[in-house]
Amino acid sequence: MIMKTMKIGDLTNKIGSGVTPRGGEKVYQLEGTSLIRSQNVYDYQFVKNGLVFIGEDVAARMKGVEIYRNDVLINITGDSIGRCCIVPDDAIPARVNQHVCILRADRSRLNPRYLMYYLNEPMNKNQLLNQAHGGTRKALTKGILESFEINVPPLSIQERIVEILGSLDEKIELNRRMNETFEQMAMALYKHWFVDFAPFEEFMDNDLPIGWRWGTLNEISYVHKVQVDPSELDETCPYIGLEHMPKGNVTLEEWENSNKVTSHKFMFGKGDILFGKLRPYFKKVGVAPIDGVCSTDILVLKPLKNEYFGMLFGQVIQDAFIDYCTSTSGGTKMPRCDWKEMAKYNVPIPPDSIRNEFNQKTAAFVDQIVANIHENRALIETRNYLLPRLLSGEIEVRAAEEQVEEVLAGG
Amino acid sequence: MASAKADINFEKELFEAANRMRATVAPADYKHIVLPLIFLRYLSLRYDKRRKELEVQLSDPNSPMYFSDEEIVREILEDRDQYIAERVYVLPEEAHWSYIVKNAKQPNIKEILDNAMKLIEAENDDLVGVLPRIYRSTNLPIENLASLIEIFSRDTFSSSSDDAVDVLGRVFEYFIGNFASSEGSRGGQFFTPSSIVELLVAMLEPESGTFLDPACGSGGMFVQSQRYSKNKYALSFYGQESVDLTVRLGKMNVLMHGINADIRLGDSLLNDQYKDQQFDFVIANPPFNQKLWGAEKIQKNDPRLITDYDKAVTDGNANYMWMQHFLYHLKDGGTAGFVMANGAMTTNNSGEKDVRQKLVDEGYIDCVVQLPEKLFFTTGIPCCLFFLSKNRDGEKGYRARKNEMLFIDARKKGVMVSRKQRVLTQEDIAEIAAAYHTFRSVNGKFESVEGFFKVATIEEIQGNDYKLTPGIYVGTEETEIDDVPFEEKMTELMCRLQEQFIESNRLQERITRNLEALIS
Repeated sequence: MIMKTMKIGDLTNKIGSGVTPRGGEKVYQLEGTSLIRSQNVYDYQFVKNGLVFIGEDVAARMKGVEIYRNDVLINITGDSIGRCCIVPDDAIPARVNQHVCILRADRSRLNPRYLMYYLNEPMNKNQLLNQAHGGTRKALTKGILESFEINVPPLSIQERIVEILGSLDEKIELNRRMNETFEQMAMALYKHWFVDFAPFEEFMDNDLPIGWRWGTLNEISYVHKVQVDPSELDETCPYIGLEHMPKGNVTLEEWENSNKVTSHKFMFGKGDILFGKLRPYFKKVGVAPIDGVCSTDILVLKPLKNEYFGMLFGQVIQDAFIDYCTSTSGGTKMPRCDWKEMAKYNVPIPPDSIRNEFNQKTAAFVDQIVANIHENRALIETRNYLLPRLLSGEIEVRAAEEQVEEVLAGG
Repeated sequence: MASAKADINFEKELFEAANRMRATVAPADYKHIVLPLIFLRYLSLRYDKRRKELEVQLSDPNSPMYFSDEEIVREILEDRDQYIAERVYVLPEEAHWSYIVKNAKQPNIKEILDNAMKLIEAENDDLVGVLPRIYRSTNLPIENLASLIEIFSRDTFSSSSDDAVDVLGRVFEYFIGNFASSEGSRGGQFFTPSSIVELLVAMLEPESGTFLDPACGSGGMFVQSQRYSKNKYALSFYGQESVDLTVRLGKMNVLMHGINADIRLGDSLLNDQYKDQQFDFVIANPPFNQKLWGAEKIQKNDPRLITDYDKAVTDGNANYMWMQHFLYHLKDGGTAGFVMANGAMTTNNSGEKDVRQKLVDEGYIDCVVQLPEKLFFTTGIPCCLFFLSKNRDGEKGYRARKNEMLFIDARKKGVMVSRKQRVLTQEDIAEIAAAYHTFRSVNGKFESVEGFFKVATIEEIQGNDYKLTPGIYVGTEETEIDDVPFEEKMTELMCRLQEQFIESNRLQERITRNLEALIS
């Protein structure tokens, strides 16, 4: 493969970061032009959670850092320095603040996605970050980015590499969105049956359908509190800490090996519900996709009987329940909720037949979520394996046209 | 509105100007240099005003004080009693602001200032121990001192300006608050932000009677309470504070606001200056979670302890010793309101929980308010308010409620005024105070508001292991109902899922094709 080594500055039409609009949070609005901050930029992935918006006047003043389609974004300061992704079309119109830099590829020579993959390749990223200086605070300057040298094959090859990696990333992203859909369906179904009681026709004086009764959360579930000493752990045993759990999303896609674990942890099994008890308003609740160990700041919830799983899952992801946990939590700086209080939470308990039917429906959603998590782990592993090899030319690709020709010739 | 804003800008600008002269002096020390200058300015102002008043009366032929003899006029103008009678302090010439301004650029200005303080104290008995002599020992460059003197010599502070006295009082208070926000905290002591003081005062309604703050700092609670009281002299203030320089600032602060307060020096817990005295109100913001405070020095028979010594005192945390101190100093019929660290509501430590249990069982706790986070300048620490009362038997016009407690969860109140700081609005304060007043009132029709406040019985509290977190009792607010009907919501989700399935199939084919091409 023919590679040229060139400076990013010579392959781009714009490199530049933005400013933080004066007035801080007061200038943020519910809609308008997106203001992209470092918390929106992850590796390969743009995260909409926490995206803020600014009004026309502020946006007009920041015209200089207007985002175009397919701009590459890279974080240039702070803990998340080096994180890099492509701006999604639906975040535009947009501006960036001073922690995020725009790299606008010259499309006649550089595919923007190729640049994004190039900068996310671990060796390349290390090389770039080694140059970040600035005393106590690391920072990538415009100068560093401009003069950073990258290897570029011809555009047609770049496009081919981007297609291979991009199809994997699109599927990863799609699986995440599908899981959000499944989660919303499970929530909507629980609310329909257990909050609105809509499918039922006859009610008793206590506002419950006939055959139901009020119970408490500890009548359907318990906390599985089995401590394990780190020295007894197989070092490939998965470990989930609060840092791995996303806020307001049951999909637990991240974990690490427990080899770095030094203190006692709780054991959990695949299918258990993990409930982050520190600052419960973050709503870190999810279903364990594997067996493993977790932080002692996570409650491992199990249904008392397998058939109770659906009810339990539906209940603990309701916002009203999270609010209850928040309002009953103790502690000054780091409020933690307490199972003693949570256990008392009132839950409607249906007759067995309804409970079983509901459990099957919920379990179907949850099984799909877990299956997608495993698929994503495999997709990510594939991408990470291919990325350096495709970029170095170790795995050779042919330009798209050649392949088309081959297909035509073959056909 | 516009003028209020302009005022704040004026105070802010002044503070920034003064702070620019700080040089290498630590922020915590700098206030002891700056604030006495403001006080000196104030003393001169009051003196000049009185003198001008006298001059007018003495030269007006229609006035009963009219004298044509210049000798007599001068004598009367120099007569100390003419000033003391009007609660104005007598200023020797070398302590007067005009003298200080004239000598501001002299190399011995530090000595002049210390000397001025000495002369004032010598002339006025009740200022003894108030004014510091620190200028000679400070390493603040004399040019900076000269600039400070210049800043406080502005026209706004001259006797020709009608409200100069009020302005100086406000400036003094503003400076105290801003120094607090710039110097950080020490040992759990936080300057009480005005919205918390306002809330405490609004809930307690101290209109008349005696008032103790045993952790009074620079006297912020007194200034605020006096604003609340309709009759300026209906409240008598008593305070105690353990840091000498802070006691001095507190005395200056109350004087500048025209309040007569008795502020004494000493550690309230270990060296109580008000032994055997009881008050109508106790209001305080004691240091949070003080450790190693000297519990071993408390006597076994200390009258403040409400349970056995071993259960009532711990060196691990002074919170509950403070509470026993407050309770002890309450008269029958009196009420205490104070700020507390959140941990006190739930702690299970011995020496703390037993006291809480006793306070609940004996019916002393009237109300607990959980406040939102970020109300303090220098810390995001969340805190709460406790109200202890010896007025719960249905006397003095209040409702009998010994078996009940009011819980208020105010965590959702307040607005952010900067990225780091929240304040309670006037409406929030009125709403919270109204809930408490209704709870106490004989005729109050009390209805709990889900997620905001609720009355709980002692039995309920006992059933919850004596935890006092309002959230446990008030429940959660009705969450907004997602009003999309189920069928519609589910149909929308299913459509989305169908599209995602189709896209998923397409992507799977694409990925398979791409990967196969790599190995073919």
